[in-house]
Amino acid sequence: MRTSLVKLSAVLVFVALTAYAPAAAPPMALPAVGPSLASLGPVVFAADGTMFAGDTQAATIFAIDLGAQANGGAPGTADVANINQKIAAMLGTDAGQIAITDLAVHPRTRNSFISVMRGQGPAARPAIVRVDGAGQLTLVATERLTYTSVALPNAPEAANQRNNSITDLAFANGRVYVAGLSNEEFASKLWSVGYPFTTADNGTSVEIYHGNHRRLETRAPIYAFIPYTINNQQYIIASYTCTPLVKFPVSQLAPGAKFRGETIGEFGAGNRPLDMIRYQKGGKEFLLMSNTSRGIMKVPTDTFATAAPITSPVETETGGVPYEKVTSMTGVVQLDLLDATRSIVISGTPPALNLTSVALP
Amino acid sequence: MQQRNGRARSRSSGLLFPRLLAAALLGFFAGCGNSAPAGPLQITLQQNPANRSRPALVEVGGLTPRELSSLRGAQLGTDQWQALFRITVGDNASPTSIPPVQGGYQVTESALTFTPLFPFDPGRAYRVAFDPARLPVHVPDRQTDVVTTVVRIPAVATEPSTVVTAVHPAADTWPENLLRLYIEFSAPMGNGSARDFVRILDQSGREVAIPFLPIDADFWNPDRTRFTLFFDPGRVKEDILPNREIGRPLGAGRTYVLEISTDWRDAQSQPLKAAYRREFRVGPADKNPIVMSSWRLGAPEADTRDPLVVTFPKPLDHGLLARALSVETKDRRVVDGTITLEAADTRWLFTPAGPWPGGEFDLVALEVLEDPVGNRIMHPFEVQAEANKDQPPDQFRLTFRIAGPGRRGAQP
Repeated sequence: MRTSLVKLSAVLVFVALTAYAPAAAPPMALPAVGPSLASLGPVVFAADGTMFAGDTQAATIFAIDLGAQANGGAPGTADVANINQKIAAMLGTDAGQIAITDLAVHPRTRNSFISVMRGQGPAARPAIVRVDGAGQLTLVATERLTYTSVALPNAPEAANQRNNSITDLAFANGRVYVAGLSNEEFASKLWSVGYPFTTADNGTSVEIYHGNHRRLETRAPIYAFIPYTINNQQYIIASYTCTPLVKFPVSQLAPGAKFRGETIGEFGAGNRPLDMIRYQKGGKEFLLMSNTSRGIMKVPTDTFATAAPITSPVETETGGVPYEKVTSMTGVVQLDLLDATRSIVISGTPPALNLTSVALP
Repeated sequence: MQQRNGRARSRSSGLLFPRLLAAALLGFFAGCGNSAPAGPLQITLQQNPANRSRPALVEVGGLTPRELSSLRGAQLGTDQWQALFRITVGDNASPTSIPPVQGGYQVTESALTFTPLFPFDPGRAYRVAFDPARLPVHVPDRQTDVVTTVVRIPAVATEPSTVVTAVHPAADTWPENLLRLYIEFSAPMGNGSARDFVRILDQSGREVAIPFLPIDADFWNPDRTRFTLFFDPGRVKEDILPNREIGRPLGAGRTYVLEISTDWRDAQSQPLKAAYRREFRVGPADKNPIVMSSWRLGAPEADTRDPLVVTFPKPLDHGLLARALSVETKDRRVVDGTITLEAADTRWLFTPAGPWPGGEFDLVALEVLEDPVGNRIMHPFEVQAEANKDQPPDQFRLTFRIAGPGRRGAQP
C-alpha cells in the first residue's frame, strides 16, 4: 500500500482554466501531468463530504476533498433532461462517446456528482460533473483538490493482462470497503481499509463464499453492497455475481478468513442489483435496489434482523426476504439517495438519459 | 460555409493554420496605440500537424492591442468568457439547449484562444461564436455582430480493420460448466459491452437465452484488446435459483455456434472487419481440481535456452497461465524468460532469457491458477463446505532438475 497527500495535479489537464481563466497569463503552457485518476468508476461520499473514488486502471482508491467546489452551486439537485447529452457537449463530444459510471449525492450540499469516462478505448479519460439545485452543470476542477490515496493489494503489473475492476465501494465506521471483479481469476475478495489512509494499514481482505443447499460452496464475488446497521451491529448487505442477496456481520470479517454470507434473498436468472440505498419512511426503514433487468425493488429491512437464512431451495425469487416491485421507476441506470424524501436517478433509454428526483416509494 | 442567423454573421473557416492576414493586421494595429480602429475579426482553428500531442485550439484574431489588454485585466468569470467566446458541439445555428464545450481561455500577444478540456474529435463540427459587444472596451469601428463559424478537424479516414484474432478456450470441446471466455482482438476496442454483440446459437439455430453475466464491469485488459466474457455464474453453479430455473447455458453432448457481430466497435468507432463464427461441442462438467502431480515436465539440458515444457492433462485457463506459473531458483529468485502456450492451453513452454545453468529449480503455481471452469489446485470450484475450512497456501511448487549437456532433466 502507498499513501500520499498531495495536490491532485492535472487530473483533468486544462480544467482549471475553464473555471478560472487566467486573462493575463503567458501563452498557454500545459501543466505537467502529476498524480492522476487514470479512470473513474464508483464514487461515494462520507458524511463529512469526503469523496471516495475508485480508479480501476490505477487499482487505487482516492479520498478527495472537494473544498469549495462542493459548495459552489445552489443547494440540492434539480432535474436535468438529456443529462448524458449535456455532459457530452461540455466534454466536446456526443453521448455515444461518454460512459456515466456513477452518481453520488454530497451529504451537505445535496448537489449530485456524476463520474464520467470520456472517449473510447484506452484513450478514454475521466471527468466529474456537479449538478446543483438550479440544474447548473459544472465540471469539477480536480487538479485544485487535495486527496489521499491507497493502492489496492495485488495491483496488476504493467506486463500482464489482468484488470481488477472496482464494482462498488462504501465508507462506514471509519473503513472504506471495496468490491471488485478480476478479468482472470474468479476472485471473491472483499477488501477494507481504515480511513484516514496510513502506511501502516494494508487493509483486510476476506475471501467470500456462497454455500448452497447441498453444502456445496463456491467463490462468490460481490458486485454491489451497502453497509447497514441491525440492532446496533454493523452489517454489509451484498449481492453476489451469482445473484443471491446476503448479509455479513462486519465484526466477523477477520483478516485472512473465509467468509460465507448468510443468504436472505435470491433473484431469478438474468438479473443483478446495481445500486442500493436505504431510507426511512413512515417510521420504517427500507432498502431500495435498482436492478439490471427487473426494475426497482423495495425491501423492508425490519425482517433482516430476524429473517432466518435461506437453508432450503427456493423455487421463486419471492422465497427470501419480502419485497415489492416499484413499477413507477423504470430504466434506472444510476441511483442514490437525494434527501429524506427523494431519490435521485439517471434513467431512460439511450441515447437520452435524464437526471430526475423521485419521491421515495 | 456561410450562414446567417439574426445578427450573427458567419464566416467560412475549417482552416488549419493562422491566417496570414490576421498577422498582418495585428502588426499594423500594434503601432497604433489605444486609438487604433478595429479591423475585421477572424476565427480560426489552430492545429499543428507536426505536434499532434498538442491539442488544437480556436483563435480569435483581429482584436486590437487595447481590446486584448482589456481582456487581460478584466478578470472575467466562466460565464462571461463563455458568453463572449462560445464553442458548442455540432453545427446547429442556435445551440442554446446544450452547454458550451469546457476549456481554457487565454489571451496571447496577438489573439484570444480557447483550448478544449478534451481534444476536439476529428471529423466533428464545432460551432464557434464570438460576441464583440461583450468585450470589456469598445474601440472605434468594432463590429457588433456576433461572428460565428463552424470548425472541424479533418476526420481520420479509417476503414474497418479490427478482427477477432482468437477465442479461448481454443479446444473444440468445452465443459458444460465453462465459466469464462477470452475474446482477443487485433486492435484496441471501444466502450461497447460484449453482451450486445456476442451470442450463442444452439443446434437448431436458436439463440441461447441470457448465457452471460448481465453486468457491465470492466472486463478488458489494460490495452483493451482482450475481453473476458463470463458465463452467468448463477446459471453455471449448481442449485442456485437461476440454475434451477433455466439450467446451465450449455448442455453436454450438444453442439453450438459462438457468433460475434461486426457491430462491436473498435476504439476508432469502426465496426469489426468481419464477424466471428465458431462451432464448438460441449462435454460433461469438469468438477475436478487441478492436480499438479499429474503434470509432465520436460526439462531441457544445461547450457541451452531450450524451453521447459510442462504438459497438463486438461486445458488450464488461458489468461492465468501467462502469469500464475513461473520458474524460480531454489533460493526463490525468479528466472527471467518468456512463456508460450500450445495445444489449446494444455502445454506451457518457458524459454529462459539466458542459458539454463545446471541444478534444481521450482515450477511455481500461484493459488489463483484455475482451469476454464474455475477449479484450482487441490480445490474444485464447487467444493463441499466441510472440505473448505483451511486457507490454501499462496503458491504450490514442483521441483525439477536441469542436467548437464547430453542428459535431459526431469522431475527429481
